[in-house]
Amino acid sequence: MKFTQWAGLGVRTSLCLGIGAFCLAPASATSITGYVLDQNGKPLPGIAVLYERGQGARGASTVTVFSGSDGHFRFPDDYPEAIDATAALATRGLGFKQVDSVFSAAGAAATFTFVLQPTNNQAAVAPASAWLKSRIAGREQQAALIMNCIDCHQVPSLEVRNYAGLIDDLHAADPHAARTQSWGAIVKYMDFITTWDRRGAAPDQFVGEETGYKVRNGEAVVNLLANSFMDRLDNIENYDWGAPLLATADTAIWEYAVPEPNTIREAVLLGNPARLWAADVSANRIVSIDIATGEQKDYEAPTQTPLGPHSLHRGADGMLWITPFSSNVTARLNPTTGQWNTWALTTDQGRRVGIHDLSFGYEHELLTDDHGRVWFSDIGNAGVGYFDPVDGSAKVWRAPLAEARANDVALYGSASIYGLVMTKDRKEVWYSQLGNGVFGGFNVETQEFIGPFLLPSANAGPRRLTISDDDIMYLALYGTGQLAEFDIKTRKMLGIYDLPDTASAPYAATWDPVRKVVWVASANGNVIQRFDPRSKTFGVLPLPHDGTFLRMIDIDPETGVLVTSSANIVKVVNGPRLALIVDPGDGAYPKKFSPSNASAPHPAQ
Amino acid sequence: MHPQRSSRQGWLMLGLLLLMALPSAEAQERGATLVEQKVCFGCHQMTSASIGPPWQAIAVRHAARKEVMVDVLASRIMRGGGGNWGLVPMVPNQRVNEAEAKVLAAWVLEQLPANQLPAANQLPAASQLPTSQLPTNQRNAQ
Repeated sequence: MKFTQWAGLGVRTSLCLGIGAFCLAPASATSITGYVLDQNGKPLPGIAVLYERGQGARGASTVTVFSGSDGHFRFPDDYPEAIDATAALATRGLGFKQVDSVFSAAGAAATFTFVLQPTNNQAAVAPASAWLKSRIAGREQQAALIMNCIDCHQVPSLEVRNYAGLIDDLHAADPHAARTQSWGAIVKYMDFITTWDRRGAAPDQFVGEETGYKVRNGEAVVNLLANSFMDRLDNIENYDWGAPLLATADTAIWEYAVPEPNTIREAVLLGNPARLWAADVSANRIVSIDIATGEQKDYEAPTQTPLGPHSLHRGADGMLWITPFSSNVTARLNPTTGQWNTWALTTDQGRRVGIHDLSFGYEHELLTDDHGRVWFSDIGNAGVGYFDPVDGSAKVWRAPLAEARANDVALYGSASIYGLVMTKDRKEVWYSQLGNGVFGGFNVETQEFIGPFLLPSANAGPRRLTISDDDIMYLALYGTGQLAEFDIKTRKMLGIYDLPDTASAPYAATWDPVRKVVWVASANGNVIQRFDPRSKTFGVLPLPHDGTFLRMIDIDPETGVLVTSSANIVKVVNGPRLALIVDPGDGAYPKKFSPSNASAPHPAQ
Repeated sequence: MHPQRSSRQGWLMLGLLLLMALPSAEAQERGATLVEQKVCFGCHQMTSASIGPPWQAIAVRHAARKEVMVDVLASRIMRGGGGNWGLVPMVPNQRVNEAEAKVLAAWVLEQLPANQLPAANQLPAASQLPTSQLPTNQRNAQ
């Protein structure tokens, strides 16, 4: 051993000398590596290894890596805390259960060997989508349930599965009647609890015998639940991710939990060095997270009415652009100074603007038209429009109704405008209509609509869109579990592809300008799915925690890490409430992401 | 085992049980606060049926077995389940811990109507309750 290594060891152990031989904690950081093996000692690749460090840890609250083809895994960075046999490391692999964990330490190197054995029942790892797919009669019914329920939480979430067990426990003489009555009560109760959740106070109405279904399609939803979830929902077999795993030994996922209460809807990396910025749609705040230290700071929006930060967009100007959930105020936050700008927007006809998404282009950055105007989808006024950041003026054009879908009301009503993208020449914006399976364009110069175009199913549920550097638009079809590929230049649909998991409720698609692929965020599948337009094939990246509900993916232009977030809208359904950074580990971007060298003080407010 | 010590312990236990069984005003107040905080009124009301049975009906049914039922009800509040009041199992309230569940259960068991203080040997069954106090599904079954 060289002298310098000895010297290093001396520094590491000096703090331990006082408490003698029992000191397990090295004074400096520890590396964590190990193997995942089966009971015969054969390497098991593609198994997630989670290190649950908990809130308050320096850095991410959970770090996850995957075993490679030789079963070996290595956590990125070193960890300042003591790592011993009690450290909260665990494995997660579909169709496997962990039967043994062996720890050994040598200096500042901690090694874990995990032994797993196959299990027929995949219940511990299978996502909600696996249960939905295996229990429901067909794709149309599946789409209907997704469109009506997954706005707020996964289906069947762990809570829904547990309740199916409680219904089964009744041993009712007429099980169908028991299921119909029980799910009927639950759907009414959900409406009550959601109202309570959002208002923070008791609604003045009880859920009594006279209560009807306030949610759209309540009775149809109850029938679907009663006719689909007929067993205890505690056993699932033969589910597979549906496409090759993208996870390798170089893949890493950092999760930053945000203390409750919160509804973390979106997250992006922004600033230099980059910090995570997360939108809490249930409050009036943006949360800034130092990715090196994990330290969090709230940035309260300077508005009387709560903003409910909804969508986040990175601006080419380095600013964070924020759309609201519960007001007509759009905001901009300077990540360097912490300064806010806000615009309370009304249309030229005096109507309050209800922005969903702002216009962004193939780099997922906010784009303006030639006049510097920011375009948006207006979910409140069923149209598209612009606002001028200079004078705060706004104008909205109501989108034409697709006559053939006039009666198809799945969720919000047939004409609500949801996602929005802008073409490379900044002359057109394209939008989706979530409730009736329609999309269309708008020429910002001639101020004329293009289309509308109908997707095959009224329950297709096109949510958030993305656009390639070649003006190919990709639509995440939330209801039918597909990805649509539409050429804006020729106005032609190139293809509609089933995702690896059609019950995964894809919420958003994001074009990756360097990898030339589309990343799909799913609400119900605990996965990120990747589409390669060249080969028309998919890959799947499983996420560490059950109930991970994604609504977006942003791509850090420097390092190519995927940045996303998770939270159920309703607080009565558990699930991760956090921001995630995912390094696919493919080395596609020149700069390698590392959280440890990116610490930066939060700007003053 | 020392017989004297055992007997002393027994009296102590009995005393403790009696103390615990007494519905202190403070415990009742805490219970009432928790009922609001934990949104129990989403499914229950005092005198009329909603998704679940009215609190008064639960108190009447279990009046003679409060010491036992306090744990049973506490478990039901936390873990859900049922079948005693119709075809709708109770939803587990995940925001309630064990100590809170016991306070809530004890509170429910004290919600007897003023005119119904049953004798210890009378255990009201569901069929003895006024129809208006039963959930709809059970009322239809009658």
